[in-house]
Amino acid sequence: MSLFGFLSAHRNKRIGLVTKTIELEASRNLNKAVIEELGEQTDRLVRSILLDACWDRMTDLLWILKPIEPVDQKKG
Amino acid sequence: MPTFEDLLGNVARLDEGFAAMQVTGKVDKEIDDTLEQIISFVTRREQFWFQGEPNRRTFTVYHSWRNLRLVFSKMRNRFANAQLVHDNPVVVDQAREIIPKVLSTLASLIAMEKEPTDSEIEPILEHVRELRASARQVDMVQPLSEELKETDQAKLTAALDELLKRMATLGEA
Repeated sequence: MSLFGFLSAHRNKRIGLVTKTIELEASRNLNKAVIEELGEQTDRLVRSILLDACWDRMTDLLWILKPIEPVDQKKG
Repeated sequence: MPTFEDLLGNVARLDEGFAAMQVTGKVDKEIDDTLEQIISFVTRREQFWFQGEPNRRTFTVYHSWRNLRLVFSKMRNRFANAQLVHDNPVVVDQAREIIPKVLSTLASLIAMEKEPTDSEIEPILEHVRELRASARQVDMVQPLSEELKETDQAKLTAALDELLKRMATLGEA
């Protein structure tokens, strides 16, 4: 996890390193990997749990890259 | 047999119940009956789609109902133990926080149940992922460690190995 540690340490606290587009694309690829690559030969419950596990991990990693300080909307 | 409209009605009743609890500052035990009805309906949909035709759409619907069941079950559990673990009134605020995401997930899911279309797969998965992320933040979904108990560990490890193997060969000719 040293890469995410490095990114987290150097991110801009107000802008972060991730956008909604990146988040959606990452999620879409993850869904594709678990749902399509594993396919129906893998038990449906197992795939569902795996997808949850991947989502949780991705959410935690994305959290590291999100902005942590709110931007003051009043400032120009 | 309860309908989707009954389910939405129960979720709306749930939210009204939460609003009333926020005013009184006390957990109303009658909420358990409503949650039981919701869980029972959601579980039936989950079981129905578990046996659906093997394709991406049926898996998506199954996965969505399953996650809703995990959220409502955890919610019921927390309300049942609220007094015991002094979780009141935080539990009410946290439950109310995720209701909008529950409703948007349900609305998409019900629309897909009535008129199945592949174009709705990604938006529904996104709704469920967002619901799950929000629910995790306020401890309103069963943790993954509990989910893992629902299945055979050997099957899970085999699937994970298979996924990693496929990922490793992606892009190869």
